[in-house]
Amino acid sequence: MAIPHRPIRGPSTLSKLIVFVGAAVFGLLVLTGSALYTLNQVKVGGTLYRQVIESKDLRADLLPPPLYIVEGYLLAHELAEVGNPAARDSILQKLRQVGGLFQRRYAHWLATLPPSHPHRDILREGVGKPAIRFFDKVENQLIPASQRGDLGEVRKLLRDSLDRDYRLNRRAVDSLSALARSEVESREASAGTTIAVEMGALLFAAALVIGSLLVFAFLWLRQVPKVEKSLLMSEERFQLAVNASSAGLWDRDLIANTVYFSPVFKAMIGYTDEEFPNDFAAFFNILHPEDKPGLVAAVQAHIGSEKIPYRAEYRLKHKNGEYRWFQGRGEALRDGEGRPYRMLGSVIDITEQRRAEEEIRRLNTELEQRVLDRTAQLDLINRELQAFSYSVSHDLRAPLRGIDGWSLVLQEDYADKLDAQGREYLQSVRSETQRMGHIIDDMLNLSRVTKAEMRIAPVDLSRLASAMTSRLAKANPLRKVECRIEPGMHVHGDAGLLEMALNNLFENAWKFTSRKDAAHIEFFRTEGESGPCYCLRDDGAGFDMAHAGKLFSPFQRLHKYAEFPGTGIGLATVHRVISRHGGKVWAESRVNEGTRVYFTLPIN
Amino acid sequence: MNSKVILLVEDNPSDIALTKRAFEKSRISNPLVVAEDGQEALDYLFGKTKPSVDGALAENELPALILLDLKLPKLDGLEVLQHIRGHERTRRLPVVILTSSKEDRDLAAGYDGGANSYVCKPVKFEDFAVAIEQLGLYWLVLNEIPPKID
Repeated sequence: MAIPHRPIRGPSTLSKLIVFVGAAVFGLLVLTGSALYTLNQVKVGGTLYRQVIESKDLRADLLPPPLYIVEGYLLAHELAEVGNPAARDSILQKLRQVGGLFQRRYAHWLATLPPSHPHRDILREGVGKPAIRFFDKVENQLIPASQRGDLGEVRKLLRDSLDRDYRLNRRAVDSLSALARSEVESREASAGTTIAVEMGALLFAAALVIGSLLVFAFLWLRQVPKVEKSLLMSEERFQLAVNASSAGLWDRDLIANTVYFSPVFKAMIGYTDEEFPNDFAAFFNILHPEDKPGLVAAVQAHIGSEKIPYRAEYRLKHKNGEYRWFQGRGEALRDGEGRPYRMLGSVIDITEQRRAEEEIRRLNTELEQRVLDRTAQLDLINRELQAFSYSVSHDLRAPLRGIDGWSLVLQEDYADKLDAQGREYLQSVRSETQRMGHIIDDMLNLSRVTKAEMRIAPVDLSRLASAMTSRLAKANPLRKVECRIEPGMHVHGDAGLLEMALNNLFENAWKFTSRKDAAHIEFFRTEGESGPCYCLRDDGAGFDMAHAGKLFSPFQRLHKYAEFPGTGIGLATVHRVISRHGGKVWAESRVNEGTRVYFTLPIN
Repeated sequence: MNSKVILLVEDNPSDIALTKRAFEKSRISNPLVVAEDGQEALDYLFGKTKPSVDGALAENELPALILLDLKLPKLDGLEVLQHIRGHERTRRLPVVILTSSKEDRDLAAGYDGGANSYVCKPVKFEDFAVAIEQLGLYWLVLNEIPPKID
């Protein structure tokens, strides 16, 4: 049983994560700090702002606004002092300019300020009316008096009337200026508040980003507990498997060095869950002593390297005292660093399997032995057979030659002492002897076919057949036999053996057509049930198909010797040759209608 | 021609008699020395025994032809051949294996051992007589005897 488990992320990953989050927070803080710094520079009351305002104030101080008529007032006083008409005219011109400027600016402000504006009254009543009066008096009284050269009148006007208007204007301007300043200040304050609010918002946004980063980091960090959780789940699955599996299971805590054996496992060795304690001692107690080193080594090897799977076969003593074979498999769970901290495994009872294997092994050994014995016997038989045929070859022919030789001596030397019948008997002795010689030769040939080593090479059957028919024709010049041989029948086979087979077949065909005045022999290729086959057809004596079964067995003859002489070994030899080429040979015939002998050579 | 001795190494009395008859029929009158086993053949060739027949060899003389059967008591034909070819004095002797066997391994061993010819004895006596006649004509008349080795 495979125990699912996920690798646990170790502290190394955790620290990496912290460093990453830290770097992100730090970067964000730097960004925020720089943003705040810039804001601080720009904000109202800030460095830049202050500089701008200062220069503005200075300008305001140096250059009186047109609404403030101090310039006109001063010019009017100058007029009182000057006697030169040219200088007087220049001052008069300036006075008029200042008055015009006032008129324009005043009109502008009256148009700009809405009717409801609180400053409008002060502008019109306080600033505007005295100033208008002032410039009226300048135009209508002061300038004519000055042009008249009446300096007394000018001074009187300055002292009594213009001075009062100037002071009224000045007071109004001061109050309006104070009002405007306070207004500006309040605006500045509100702007400061706005900026502060905006800064707050920015800070909030920054905090939000940092916060979400932190949450993200936190969630990521929580993966470790999640892995633990998945382990818990696998443990649950394991428990399910423990309950469901027919395999016994064990669970070993490598750190606490404790072990758990499932009830199924305990049942396998004949114990109930309570009877067999969950400890190593109990296990090693029932472990076969011979199997302990191997088992310990296998476990250690797997703990040492996860590349070496844990597989072990060992014997445990059943409660009934009998040792049974078990096969254990298991897997160590490892932390992020690859250190094993737990090992889970399954155990199945393989006693029957081992018994069966043992039986198979035993049977195989027996079989092998039997094969060896048989082979040895066969070898012996073969050797005996070889010795037999060797001695047949040597020893059986010699006495035949003797019989034949001495019969001939009798015929030659004692012919006059024998009557005709005696001489005929003697002739019979000799022909039988020679027949015996042929049988011996054929038998030796047959055994040679079986023994001979096959040398497969291309063979031209047509050429072989032609050579045979011409040889047969030459040997029997009186016979009239028409031979037709299909040209180009190329096959693969042992040339010597095929020649022997064809020789027998053609000799048969020749022999069994010997009673015909004009015989026909054909050798050709045709299509059989299972591919191409070769056929030798003659129109000779034929045979009764009822006896076809005997045809290819040695020493079986279907004709009387007197009709067609033969040893009965020829077709048996053909059969062996074709068999050795993996082919089949069969014959079709009818008495007096000739014979067809077919053979196949599937080797091609 | 008469001086040329033929050594027949053959243990079968019937074959010995029939061979003699075949020679006579072929009018080959060379002295025929018969050794009935391999050892006897070697003893004869190496001068250890003097056969009682009229084919006794003069000093340093060798037969003109050896007809050697393969299946022999004591030493077989191939061993005899081996000795003949192994000795300086006899190594050029014409040796014709004359046997009943047509077994391939006998043929191969015969030629490998240095036989000059291999003839299978036919069963039919007429054929056998023809073979003997041709052998005698060829080896004793047609064939030039190898030079003597001193």
